[in-house]
This record gives sequence, C-alpha cells and structure tokens, in this order.
Amino acid sequence: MAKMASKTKQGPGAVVSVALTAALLALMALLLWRMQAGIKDVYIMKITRLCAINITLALAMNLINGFTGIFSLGHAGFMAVGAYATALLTIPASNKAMMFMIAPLVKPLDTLTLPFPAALITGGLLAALAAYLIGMPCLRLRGDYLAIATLGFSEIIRVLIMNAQPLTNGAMGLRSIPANATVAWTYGVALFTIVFMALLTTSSYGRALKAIRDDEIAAESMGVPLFNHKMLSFMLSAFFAGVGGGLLAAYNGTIGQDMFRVTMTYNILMIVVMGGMGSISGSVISAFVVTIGQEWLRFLDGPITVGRFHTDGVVGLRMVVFAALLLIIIVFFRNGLFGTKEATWSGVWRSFGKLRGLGKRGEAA
Amino acid sequence: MKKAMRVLAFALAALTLASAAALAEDTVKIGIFEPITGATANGGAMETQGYDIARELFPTILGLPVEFVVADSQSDKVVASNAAAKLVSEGVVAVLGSYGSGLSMAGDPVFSEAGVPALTATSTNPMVTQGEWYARICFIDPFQGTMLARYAVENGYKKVAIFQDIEADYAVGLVTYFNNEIKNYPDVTVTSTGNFVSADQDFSALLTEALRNEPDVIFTSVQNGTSAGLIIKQARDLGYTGPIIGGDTLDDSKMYELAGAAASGVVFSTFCDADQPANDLLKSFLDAYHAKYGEDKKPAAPTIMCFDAYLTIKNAIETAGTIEDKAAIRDALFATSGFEGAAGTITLDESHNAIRPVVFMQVQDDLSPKFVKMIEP
Amino acid sequence: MSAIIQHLANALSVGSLYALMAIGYTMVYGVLRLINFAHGEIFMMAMYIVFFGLTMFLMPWYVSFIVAILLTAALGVAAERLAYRPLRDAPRISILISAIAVSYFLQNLATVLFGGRPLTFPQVPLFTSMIDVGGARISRLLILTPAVTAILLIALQYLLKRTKTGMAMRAVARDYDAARLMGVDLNRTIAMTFFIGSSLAGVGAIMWGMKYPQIIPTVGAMPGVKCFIAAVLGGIGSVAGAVVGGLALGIAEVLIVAAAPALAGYRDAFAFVLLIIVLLVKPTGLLGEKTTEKV
Repeated sequence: MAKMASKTKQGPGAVVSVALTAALLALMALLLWRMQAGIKDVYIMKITRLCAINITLALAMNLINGFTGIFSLGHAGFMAVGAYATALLTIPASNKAMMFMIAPLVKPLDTLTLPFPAALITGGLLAALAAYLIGMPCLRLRGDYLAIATLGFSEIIRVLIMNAQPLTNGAMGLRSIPANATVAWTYGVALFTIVFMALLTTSSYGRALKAIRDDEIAAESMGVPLFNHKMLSFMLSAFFAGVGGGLLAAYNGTIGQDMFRVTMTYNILMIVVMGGMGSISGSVISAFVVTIGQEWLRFLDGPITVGRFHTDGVVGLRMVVFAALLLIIIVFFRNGLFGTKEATWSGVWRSFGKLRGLGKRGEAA
Repeated sequence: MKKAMRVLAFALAALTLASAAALAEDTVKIGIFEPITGATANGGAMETQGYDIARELFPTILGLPVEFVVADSQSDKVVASNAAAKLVSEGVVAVLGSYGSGLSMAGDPVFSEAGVPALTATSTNPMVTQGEWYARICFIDPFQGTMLARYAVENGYKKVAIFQDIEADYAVGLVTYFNNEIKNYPDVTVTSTGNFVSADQDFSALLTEALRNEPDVIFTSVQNGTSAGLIIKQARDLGYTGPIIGGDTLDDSKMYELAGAAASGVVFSTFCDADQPANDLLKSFLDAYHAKYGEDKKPAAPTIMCFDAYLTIKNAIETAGTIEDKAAIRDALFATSGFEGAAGTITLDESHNAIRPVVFMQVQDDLSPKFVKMIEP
Repeated sequence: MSAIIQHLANALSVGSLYALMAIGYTMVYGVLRLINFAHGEIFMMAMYIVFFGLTMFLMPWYVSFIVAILLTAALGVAAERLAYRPLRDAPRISILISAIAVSYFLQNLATVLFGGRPLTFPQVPLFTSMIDVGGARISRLLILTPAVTAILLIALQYLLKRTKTGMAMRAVARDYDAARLMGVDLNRTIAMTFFIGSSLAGVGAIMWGMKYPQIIPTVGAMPGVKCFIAAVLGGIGSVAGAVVGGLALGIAEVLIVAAAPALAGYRDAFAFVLLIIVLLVKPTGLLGEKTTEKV
C-alpha cells in the first residue's frame, strides 16, 4: 500500500520502499503474533480484531464512495446479507434446531454447514448479488438521490430480515456463531482487501473509475462504459462489505437485524471520511484511529478529575466528543487525513526532514 | 491547521492521564452489564437502581468492599460484545445483567470464553442460558406466555387482539408461546395480530383495524414500556373500554407516564410484587428505595429482581469462598437452591433458569399496580 | 363507516405532520441542493426544548411554544453557519457528509444533555381532548394539525411570492450563480431559508409531540427520513409539492395498515419502496419542475 508514488527524488527509491513496506508488514505480523500469544486480555484482542474488520469494511466503502464517486449509503444492508449468510452456514446444525424456536429453519440450511472461508465467500457473493439487483435501478440515479435510494434498500433488507422468520429467525436473531474471526482471519482478509484494492485502483480499470468520479460526462465521452463500470465497482464493494459483515458475525457470536441500521453505515462512512475518500492507506490508518479512539474515549463516560474540577461521569460524553472531532475534521480538513493521496515512504521521509529542519527553516513545502 | 490537530491530541492525552489515577486496593469487582443509553436505557436504569440499593445495604462480600464496574452496551449488540470484553479485562469476578435478552446473548460468548459467571435478573428469552456461564433468576418466556394465555382463558375472553413488537425477540417469543397455548382452547380465537416496530409511535391505524373485530381483550407484547403506554392510551382514545393485558415489560414507569389515566385496569404478569413485604429483606429494600428515590415512588419489578440478583451472586461467591476461582463461583451459582431473596425463593434448575411463580398485577386508578394472583409453576 | 372516517382522520393528521417537516427539506434542497440529514435532529431538539420549557421553567404553553420555535430556527441557522457554509464550494458529497455528522452530533449531544431515557411530552389539554365526529372518536389535534399546516402553507406561499426575501429565495433556487451576480445576498437568503425551514420543523415537533408523546434522542430519525421521502414524492424544491407528498405518504401508510395489518411490520420499508418507484418513474415528483443536469 505504501510505495506507489516513489518517483520523487527526495525520498528512498522504489526498491527501498518495497523493502520498507515488507519490513513494516513483517513487524506488524510479529507484533500480532506476539500479542496473540502473550496478551491474555480479551478486551485488547477483541478491539485489535475489530480494527482489521473495520479496515475491510472501510476499504469496501471507499471503493464505491471514494474511488468511483458514487455516494452509496447501502453498506449496512450488504453487511447484513454477508453476516446472516456466514452465520447460517457456520452454526452447527444442533444449535440451529435449538435456536429456531418459532418456526424451524428452512431446508437445506437446517443441516447444511460449510467451512468458514466458504461461508465467508458465499456471504460476499450473496451481497454482490443483492448489489446487482439494487444497482439495476439505483445506479441510474444521480448523486444524492442515489444516496437516499441505497439507504432505502439497506433498510428494506433489514426489514425483510426482521420478517423472514423461517430463514433468519426474525427478531430472535442468531447466536452460537462459531468464533472463527481470529487474528489470522481478520488480518488475513484485511491484507487481502488492501492488496486487491491497491492493484485494482492502479489498474486501467481503476483509472476509469477515478475518471468517472472526477467527471462523469468527460469519462463517458472518452469511451468509458459508465453503467458497467459503476455496477462492477458497486458489486465489488458489496462483496467486501458482505465478507466484512461475515467476519463481524463471527467476531460478535450473535447477530440481530438491529445491528444493521443506517448508523452502521454512518460509522463506516466516518472512518472513510476521516482517512480521506479515495485513499487506501488513509482508510487503513483511520480504521485503527477510529476503532481504538472510540474505545479509548470511554474514560470520558466515567468519573473525571482534572485539578479541582470533578465530575461523576457523564454517560455518552465520549460519543459527543467523537462526533465533534469528526465534524471539525469534515469542516476544516475536508479531505481527511490523506485526501485522495496515499501514505508513502518518501512522504514519511519528508515529514522527518521537516521535523528535523523545523527549528531552522520553519514551514517549508 | 496541523498545529490545531497537535494541540487537540495533546489536550486529549492530558485528559487520559488525569483520569488514569485509579487506585488499586482489594475489592470484589462486579461487572454491571447494562444499556445505560440507547433504546432500552430506561430498562438499564431500573436495573441499576436495584444493584445500587443492594450494594448500599450489603456493601461487602467475604469481608471485602464491592466495586461496581459499569459497561454501557448502548442498547447495541456490537457495543455490548465489546463492553462485555471490557468487563472481562477489568478482571471482574462476576457479571450482573443485562436488561434485554438480545444484549445478554451478545455478552454470553465473551463471558463463556473468558470463564466469567454472569447472572441476569430479567432476560426471559430461553436462549440466554444455553451457554455454560449464564444463569438467570427469572422465569422464561414459554412459561410466561402460557400463563398469560391461561389468564385470558380463565377470565372468559373469547376474542383476542394481539399487538407485537416484531423487532424484539422477547415480544415475538412471548406471542408465540401465548398462541401455542391458546390453540388448546377451540372457543378462544385470536382475531388480529398487529405488528409494529420499537420506534413506532402511531398505533391508531392498527388499533382501528383491530377494534373492528370487537375483541374481548387486547394483548400487548412489547419490548419497551413506552410502546405499551402509547398503545393503551391510543386504544382508550379510540373508545375501547375492554381489558388490556401484557407481560413483564409493562411494569415500566414510562408505561404509566404515557398512558396516564388510560392505564387504569391494565393487567400484566411479572416476577414479584413490591406490596407484599412477605419478608424482612423486601421491607429493608423498600425502606432504602423510598429513602433514595422518594416516598411516593414504587419500585418496578426489575429493580427488585436486580436487588435479588446481587444477593444471589453475593451468596454464590460466599458459598464458593473465593474471588479467584470463577469456575467454583459459577458452580455455586448454578447450584443455588432455596435462596431467600426479597422477591421470593430462588432455585435454579439444571439449565440454570429459576423456577418461580408468575404474579399477575392490575393497575389501579391511582396508577399503582395491585396484586391479583400468583401462579406456581 | 366510523372505521373509515377514523382511518381518514388518522391519515390526514399524520400526513399534515409529514408535510410540515417536508417543507423544510424541500426549501433547503431548493437553495443548496442538499439533503439536510440533520433536519430530523433539529425537530428532535425542538421537542426537548418544549419539554423543558413546560416542565422545568414552567412557562405557559404558548410562551414555551414560541421560545421553542425560535430556538429551533436559531439552531438550524447555526448548523448552516458552522457546518454547511464553510463547505459551500466543496463537492456536494462533502456537505452531505457534514449534514450526516451534524445529525450524529446532535443525537449524541441530546443523549448527554437530556439523558438516554425517554421523556414524555407534556399534554396541553386545549389541543388534545377528544371529541365525537360522526361516530368516530377524534382528538382535537386531528383537526388542528391540518388547519395549522394549511395556514402555514398559505403564509409561506405569500412570503415566497410577494416579499423581497421570498423572491431572493426563489431566485437562488432557480439559478444560484445568476442570483449571486444579480446582487442577491446569498448568505442572508440561505440563512433565512434555514430559519423558516427549521421553525416549521419546530411547529411540526410540537404537533408531533402532542400526538406521539415519547421523546428520545433518536425520535427525529425516522420522521426525518420519511419527510424527505414525502418531499421527493411531491417534487423536491416545490413547497406545495411537499405538502401534497406529505399527505400522500400519510394516506398511503394508513392504507397499507388498514388493508393488510399483517404487513404493518413492513411499514417503514414501504415508504422506501414508494421513494424508489417515484425516483425511477417520475424523478421530478408529483409537482416538481423539470430540471436538466448542467454540464
């Protein structure tokens, strides 16, 4: 993810960049491996895994919203499809029988179980299929109409899940979902998504998507088949959202339709916006910052003593602070952390240079 | 701009440091796993009151002071799962909660994996205790639904209009068991089933439609007391004068507030009755409750149940004689038998569910519920 | 018979409530081409302001209503000033995201300020007592709500058609850049639009609260989305269209519940289905004007 723009003379060359990226990944893997072995803290490991799931989910949304410039708010719906598919395909048959108390689960799902990866991919494919059906009408709409229509379809998916008792267990939700979302799986999928998105967006296909984002009419006159490109991007985005939803189901152990309200879409959107719409490294870093930040800000809900000032804890303060930070970022740093750019080693090099030269030169670009 | 970011980050860092001055001494840490904000915040608040009073009256376990670690699940299943993990990592000995079966189930895998015993006072969904670490001191929905149906039959109601919150596992489950029992009485029919969602506030169209069949009784199966209050109010506004019945979620201050005078005559099933100080424990609970929340306030059943939940956990820890060996505490908890709580005797069966009677209460003109009858299981 | 009157009265009163909020959406969309996602949260804030005015500050109801409407209008203007105006030259997506963030912020702020537990909107007996009409039991509110909506609509039409401010609003809605070149004070006109739209949301919130008295921080979310649907249904940008759309949505929702009570659980999805059909079949809505995308 971090070595695309290494043409600049200031920074290290391409070979060094690749080496540095590899080193960073190795370091990361080592760290995760050590954490898994050494840290018995459930909470830390849980949040660590959630970061990776959010990377996948944010990159999925970034593809359609950031790289293609189509403002879709249907993410939660696709996640729901993936989550339910993964859950239904991995829960052991005996548990299913215990769970579907109101109406039995339809055949052949009641006895069918697949290995976790197969279930994840099935969930992703079903989400992509849903995206195809939704995209047929919606992708013909313009900007904000498309946003509200996709939001509508996401809600429709949720309401259908709520009412389809024999398939989804309706309001009862699903539980006893095997805890397959291990560090290896969550980070493995996140890494795959990063690599896939990096290759995709630098391919000719990715450049066509960016052309659509920057100027639809110009792109069309250059011979880019608009609808096909939009549709494929929409379906790919939904596929990864479905996979992310499946991971979330395995992560949580229990799911219900109420998890997949519009708020879920907004939460992922916030990660994408903070990182920069159209920046892969931005989304990755932002997924870590937002996920950990939200948990870290929990102290705001508890009692706080600063000097002589003391409060007994204001429940919900954390979310206000978080929302305010977000608003500040949107209004004053409208492009997020990285805008449409990527983090590069030469960029890091420059920042270091700037830091070193800060005393002497002050601001210099 | 970058400078602004840096200042902001610095300020936040300073804040954390200031708050991190937590003191470590020997305490028994009990996790409070409740929705403090979000859609079911009112339920979480009712339950927290019960825990707080219990700790005030019984502040120590095994001679050590009890410390509550509160985790807000925000009425959300993903947040609930993380909040549960937070409790585990804080090193709690046991967990109390949650209001709302769905949220309890979200915490279950975390507690099971970490091996922390959990006890819910009011989660009535049968699936909650399917794991190996969760117990409850209330009855389960199949029992409550059946008893509600029998109550309708015994009172000679022939035509039942049902309203159910189809978003809520609890509400849908209760209706299912109610219907299963009603099927045994061929002369009693369900004339209509009105589906709504938790956030709905307008029931006039559903009610108008249901009232066309001239039902003898309205059965409201709701997740939140607010829905019940609105249904009751709007039913009376539409001129319906017949009986209205419902499950334990009706016993919620919001129901009385929203329905107002319309609530008079409503009958609901619940876990216990605050007006029957059958034992000294209930009396001391009520005294503490009135001292803390006002003479005129009557505690809801969940509050009393949570008072008992605290005592049950306390008893289990003291029986096990340890705050280190959580498996021993769990075993002691699951073996609870004949334990005298404020709301009655608590005995857990082999699937860690309590065997206890259901109590029927009727709302009086002054909007206080009065004991009607009690049915033993 | 009485059931039909009852359904009709329900539809009319729900529809008028939708209409009041839909006007706010349609006006903002008209001048800024922005779906103001925070409109529902402004509506929610109005309910809390009335609640605290009546129960904490013990104001007479009319004082508390006026205070609430003014504060709500001020909140709308403040949101525009702080969160939308700085982004006016940014891509439209940025300002839409900003609107989502404002809505997220206000919801969380309300949770902290007013608590997560639901409050009960105080009843004003003058408006909520019941009367008998042709065998149907009807709350006075059921007649009052459409009447208030009608009066406000007429007043708003007068303002838009006959006053200088109104003309400026229409000019900005028709052609943003041309209006600016013609010397229209954009900032003032846009602020005025938010002022009027938000104060109507305030009126709607008062009526809504008396009919559906539960107040929680998320109370504005669903009405917000539905009223936007109503605005699209009627033709976004058209004030009369918003009223027609609101009434149509109200009637359609009551109809589906009356015709098939088992489908009532799908009611919220139904509004979206309606939206998608309208967008596909007649994107300009029932009363909207045809616009073309400028290159």
